[in-house]
Amino acid sequence: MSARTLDRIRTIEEAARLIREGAVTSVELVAASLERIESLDPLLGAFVFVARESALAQAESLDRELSTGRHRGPLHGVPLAVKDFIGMRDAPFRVGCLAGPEAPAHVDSSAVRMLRDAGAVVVGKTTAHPYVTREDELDARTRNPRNPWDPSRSPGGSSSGAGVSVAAGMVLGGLGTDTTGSVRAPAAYNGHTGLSTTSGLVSKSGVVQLAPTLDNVGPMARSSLSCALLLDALVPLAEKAGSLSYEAALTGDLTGVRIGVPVEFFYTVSSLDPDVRAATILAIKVLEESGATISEVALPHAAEARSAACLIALAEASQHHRRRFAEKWPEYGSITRLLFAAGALLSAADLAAINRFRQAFQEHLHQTFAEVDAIVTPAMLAPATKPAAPDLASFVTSPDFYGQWSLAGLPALVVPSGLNGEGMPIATQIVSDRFSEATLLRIGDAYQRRTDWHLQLPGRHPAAA
Amino acid sequence: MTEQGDLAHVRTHLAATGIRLDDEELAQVAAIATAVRHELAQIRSATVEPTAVAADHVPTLVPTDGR
Repeated sequence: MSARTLDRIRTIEEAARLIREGAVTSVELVAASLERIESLDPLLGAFVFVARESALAQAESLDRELSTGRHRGPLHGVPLAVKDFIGMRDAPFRVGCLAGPEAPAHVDSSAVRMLRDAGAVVVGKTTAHPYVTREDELDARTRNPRNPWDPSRSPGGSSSGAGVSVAAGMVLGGLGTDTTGSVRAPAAYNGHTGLSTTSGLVSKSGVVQLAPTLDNVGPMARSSLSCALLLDALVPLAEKAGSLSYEAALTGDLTGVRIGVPVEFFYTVSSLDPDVRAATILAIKVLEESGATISEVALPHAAEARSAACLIALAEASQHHRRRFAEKWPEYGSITRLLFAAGALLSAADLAAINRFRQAFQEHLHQTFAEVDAIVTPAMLAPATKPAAPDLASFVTSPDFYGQWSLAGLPALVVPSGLNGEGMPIATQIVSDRFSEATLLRIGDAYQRRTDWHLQLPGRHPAAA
Repeated sequence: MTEQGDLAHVRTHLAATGIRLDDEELAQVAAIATAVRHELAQIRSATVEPTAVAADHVPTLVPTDGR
């Protein structure tokens, strides 16, 4: 057993089966995970904290439990990681910049506690781009994670380290937080599956907030099934909207599922890479072959919806962190400082106007989801590029395909759907109505039963191959 | 939103929130603010407010050709 084990065991479901059958122990899996982190992290910068000793001790304890007949479920003994924003007992809290809370958390966040109760071994906390900045903050004072497919390219953000650690096979899954794409962008850029959950579905207790009306905690893993297993541990039974478990919803059959395609903007915006567009259209054909019906839907003002989410994020983040500004201002990242300052300039009347638009947009989507069960869009404008000096105004004005759903509080799943000519991941996004994660995961799983993009490993860098 | 290009206003407004910027940062924030003002105008023009103010009258999206 070595780090190479995690090349062969790529999903939580596969690890769960092998642990249950006694073919592998939790100690072996966790040791392989730690070995891989030790080997790759100096290059990839995915971790801010590794709980080596306590992870191995927990794995030993879980192996002993199993030997006495107690099996906690599919996460029993599986190594995971969580974004630095998510509190983990005795682990430092940096949140991607020097202005983060200095003291380690005294207790686990609710999400980490629920994962541990389900038997998961949380091996560490992962790097995050500072607060609101999803793109690379060129701040030498903080550790910037790198894309395992090509370390010279962006890993997306802000749940960057969690995405990198999953894609490079350091862990089998993890948790990120998503405000306007922070789970989905790393999933898309690093070539794995990521779920931005319905606002309020997963507890945010013990999680550092950015924009409270947009933030959510979401699972990140190679497959939709792995994400379903993580979500099953994170959501109490009573909250599952009629499903006994998300795993049980994954039938592989999409008969009766109605999928809408919002062509305008999402498939026509001029900065959309042709390879990404083509891969998403191919993905829709796979869904149709799986039994889904496809139709075009109208979704006006998608660009404005993205901007509205961005402005709400800036205003809420600025207000949420206001008390810390006076004492910590120089310690916020350089880009974060400027964006938060711009957010502080928005007036109450501005926010009222944005929220009126938000209400109208949500109502339009509510009507749309009476006609279709899910919407499919590209998950990126283009595959990961090399970081460039940021144009801060474009942070507000550039189109993307994430903020629309954040604005409406809807869940969205990103699944890998190809590689471009340079070998970089391409991804597709599936969106559904509030609390319809079971539908999303069912669609993502059906797609992944017929494709293997989610199982591809980074091959360009020898250390990650 | 504070007025575009009014750097003194931006500086005063931000100082009241505990944010102190040097001149270079102030110019960058003013540039972001200009973009924000443009997006705000787009957002406002995309929303139709109801003519009545009763609770069951809600804003709607402005229809767009082909969308």
